[in-house]
Amino acid sequence: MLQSRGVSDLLAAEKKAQELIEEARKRKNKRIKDAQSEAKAEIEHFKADRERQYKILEQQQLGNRTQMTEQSSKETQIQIGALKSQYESNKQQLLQRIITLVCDIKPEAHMNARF
Amino acid sequence: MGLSETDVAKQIQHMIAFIQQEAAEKVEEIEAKAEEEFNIEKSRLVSQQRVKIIEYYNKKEKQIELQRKIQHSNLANASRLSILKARDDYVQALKEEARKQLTILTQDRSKYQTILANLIAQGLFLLMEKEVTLRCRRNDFHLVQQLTPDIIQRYKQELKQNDIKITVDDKNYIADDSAGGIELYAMGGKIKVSNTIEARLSMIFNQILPEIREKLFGINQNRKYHD
Repeated sequence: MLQSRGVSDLLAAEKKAQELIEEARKRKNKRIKDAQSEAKAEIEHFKADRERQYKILEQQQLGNRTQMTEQSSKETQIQIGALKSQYESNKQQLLQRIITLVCDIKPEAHMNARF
Repeated sequence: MGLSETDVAKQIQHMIAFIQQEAAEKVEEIEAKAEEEFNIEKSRLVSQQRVKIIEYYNKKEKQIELQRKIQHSNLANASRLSILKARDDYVQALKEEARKQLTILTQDRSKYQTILANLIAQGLFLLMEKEVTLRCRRNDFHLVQQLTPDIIQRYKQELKQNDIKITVDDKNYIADDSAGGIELYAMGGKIKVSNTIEARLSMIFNQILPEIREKLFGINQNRKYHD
């Protein structure tokens, strides 16, 4: 009688042990599955940060764009303006030279045809 | 009789305790393992995705930089082109100014006479043909007819020969708004010498372009060869 009670107690303990182990295994599997969802959350956070960083850069560049265009056209206009003043100051001298050259005509017979 | 009841009970307690302890250890083991695998899996997934994300945004940022460089280059190009165009416009303006001044000059009869005579003579020497037709502006017709005999003399003297017959075209004329000068035709119009003021201006203008550019725009620092 005692024996059977002892044995059944042992069997019960063994059964309980198995249950505990089984539960631990189940928890383990759940934990591993959790890894996926936690990883996902972390990555989303990282991605959002990076996106924010990128957007700032993009905005900056957009601003630079208009600034660059304005600057370039301003500088170009200055240079073209400089051209005008150079033209005006050198015009007369050049015109003189051109007209002198055009009016200075030397009609000559070909070398081989002369005597 | 062997073991007493109490002894058996104690044995059984020990065995139960042993079973329970083993189970607890096993559970601890499983839980440690679980944590470990959790961390491994999580960091694996995170770093895998991280690499992708970093690569993606790096590429996008490179694109932005590329766009910036392209824009910069386009602007520099456009600027250079408009400056070059402006320079060319001024050069053309100079030529047009010269043409206008020459037109005015041809109204000074004595100066124009010399010029015209020289232009005709030059053309004749070039052609060396027996029969030449001259074409001029309507207004210059009489002047040309006047000058022709002297020029023929000169021509015959220089070449010590050659009879030459000159006709002044009275049916076709050079445009009235042109600066003046003369066109010479020979061989029934197959050979043409264009000695108009405009033609001469173009030729001379092109020849002294380097000088014009230098005077108007300064010496070109980028130029390596000058001959």
